[in-house]
Amino acid sequence: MEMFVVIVGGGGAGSYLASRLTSEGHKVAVVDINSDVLKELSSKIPSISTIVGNGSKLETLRKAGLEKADILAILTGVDARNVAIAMLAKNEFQVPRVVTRVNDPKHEWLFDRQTGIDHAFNQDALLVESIMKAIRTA
Amino acid sequence: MNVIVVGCGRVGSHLADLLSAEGHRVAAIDINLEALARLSANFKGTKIQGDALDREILYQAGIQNADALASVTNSDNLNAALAIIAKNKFRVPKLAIRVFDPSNAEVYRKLGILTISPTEWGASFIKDVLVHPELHSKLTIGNGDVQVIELAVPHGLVGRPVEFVNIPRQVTTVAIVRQGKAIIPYQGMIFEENDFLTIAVSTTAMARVEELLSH
Repeated sequence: MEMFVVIVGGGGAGSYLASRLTSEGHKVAVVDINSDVLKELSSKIPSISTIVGNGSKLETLRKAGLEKADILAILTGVDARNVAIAMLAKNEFQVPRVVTRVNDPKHEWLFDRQTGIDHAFNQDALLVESIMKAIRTA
Repeated sequence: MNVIVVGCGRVGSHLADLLSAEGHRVAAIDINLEALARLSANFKGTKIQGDALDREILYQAGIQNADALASVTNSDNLNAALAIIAKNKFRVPKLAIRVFDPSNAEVYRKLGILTISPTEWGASFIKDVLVHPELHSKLTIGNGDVQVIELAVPHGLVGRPVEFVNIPRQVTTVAIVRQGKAIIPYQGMIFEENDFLTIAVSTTAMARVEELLSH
């Protein structure tokens, strides 16, 4: 089933996710404040739509077509911003699934359905888990 | 009341001092220790240096028993995030935030978060002072969306009913002072010479009201 995914934050993770999703046939829009990041992304994958703007503003999210999105992936490097964007997504755009990155493990407790987030990925914890696993099996 | 103030800049420290002076139990949080030094020597509350998104810090501030939380840091997103956390995770009854960018303010207000945008409020206040100096505002409500104005009854209104002034959603006569006595107007009440009016006006209708009153 083809899905429409909006990604806020076109950095390393955002760009990689966008390319994986498009290669699987999904429709993707990427929002970033930095136009250079988006230019590079669209030169590599022209089918991705890119939106330059502040992802924590309603106007930018509307431009990205968030009201039609099946999934919103919030991947900025600031946890407060990620929570604030999730609040807009759930309350103004009724996005069915909101997934976010957790930057600081101390903030992980904030990311759950009470703050409008369906799935949260704590990158540091995931990395540490993998390393611990590797150490244990070595 | 138990009140948490997040962000101890000019607004936050002043707010925390005012609340403390009124006898409320206040916890002031700021990420910078120097900011907490802005609190006056009379501040009786708790000063907490740390990240307000850290659960331990919020617990230290007493979020579980807080009656109100005001977040006035210089990050709109942090203020909004803290309000939603306080509301949904701790059921804090009263929430207030300051935002510099008014564009998301309506969303926060719909969620029951008192949202103050100094940009919006300041602009509408200054506009009214510049453009409508004679309509001296006694009180502003919300972000200056509604102004309460006092004025002597204009000549053209004498002999007309209050309904002549009242326009739904734009202007309403709140009270009339007549012979030294204030009255809440009744339907069909006729303006008399020497009446003194208090009216509430939507800022967007200011020009119309000015025209109406110049009769």
